[in-house]
Amino acid sequence: MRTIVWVALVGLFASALLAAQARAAEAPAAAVTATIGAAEQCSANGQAGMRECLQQQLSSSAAALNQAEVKAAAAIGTWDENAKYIKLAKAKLQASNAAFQKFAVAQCAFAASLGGGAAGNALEIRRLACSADLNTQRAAQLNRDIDTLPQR
Amino acid sequence: MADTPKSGFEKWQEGLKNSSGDASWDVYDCDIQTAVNEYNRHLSSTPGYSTLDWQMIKAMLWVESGAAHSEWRVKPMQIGVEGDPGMSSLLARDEGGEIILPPGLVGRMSSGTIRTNPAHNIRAGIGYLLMRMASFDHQSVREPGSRVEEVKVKPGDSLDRIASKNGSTLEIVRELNPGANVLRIDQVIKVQKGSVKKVVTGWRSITTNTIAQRYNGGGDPNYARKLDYALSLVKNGRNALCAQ
Repeated sequence: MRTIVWVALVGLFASALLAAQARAAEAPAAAVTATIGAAEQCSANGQAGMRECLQQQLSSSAAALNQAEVKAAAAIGTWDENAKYIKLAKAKLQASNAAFQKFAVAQCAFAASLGGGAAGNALEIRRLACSADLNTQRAAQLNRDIDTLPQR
Repeated sequence: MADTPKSGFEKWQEGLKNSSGDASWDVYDCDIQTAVNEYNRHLSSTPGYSTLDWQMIKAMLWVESGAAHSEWRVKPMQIGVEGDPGMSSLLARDEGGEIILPPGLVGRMSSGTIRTNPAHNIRAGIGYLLMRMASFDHQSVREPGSRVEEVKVKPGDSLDRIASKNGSTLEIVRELNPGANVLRIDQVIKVQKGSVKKVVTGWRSITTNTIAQRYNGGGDPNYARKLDYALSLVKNGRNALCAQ
């Protein structure tokens, strides 16, 4: 009798573990889908219109990122923490902002290059969509990072 | 229950369905047909060439710009826009465009006219599409109109040297003299003028998927679906009557 109960418990634990693993595997994919969407949104246009749409998406995503960076710096400034750590976090944020800009340029040049010998707006569409998506993801990440920072 | 928001593709599809009935969407029909006929005539003798369907090009114009966009009146095929590598590649003398472009078009079309003249923009777009669909290789080509001549082997000659001295290539001389493995002085060798040239050796099939891959390069994730839809409207819609 005890053996049967033990086997049932092991079975339940294994099912729960598998379900949790499945959820964990799905979660990053869902997060990525939610943030990668500039090309899909702008696909409501022909290629000429899509390029213009993505240029607008890039402008608005850059503005959102700038706002997130300012907001993060402000939140760090009023963080309920020793001045030494506040100073360190501000310096790290600045370094991270600069590194991200550099990375985004290189990454999106790479993304565009994967269009190969494509014609017309294709390569620029790839570059713009990549840049807009990276800005959006970075802004969301910054907002998440400072969201739980205790304030004075 | 709230309606599911329309996807980008569905919005585009709806826009095209509602607007493409207007005659302005057919304004380039005759230009497209003339241009496609020029290319079909020019390339029909290349190995594996299948006649290009002009309606596929019309569908491409609808996907690239569309009559509702201002670019329709200037660069309907969108080749030659800022950042486009296609136009310079087509006009370069060594990337295959020189083979694909019909001879009558080569002198008339330039980067300036491709960017300003819709008829040239369409022709350049078709040319670049075909360039992207062709397979090229370097092969020995005999000079058209040249005769097969005979020369005698001299001391120190090799087939390579004989070919070079007579404006030919080793491959052509080998083809003309299949038994000439070891050369003897005064042996007669056939030669014909020729050179190594870039040639079309085959074609990828031209489908909405291959156009999305080779011409659009995955820029628009819905490019193939858009082409499929535009092509279905073009095939079922009205086309302008053109003088042949």
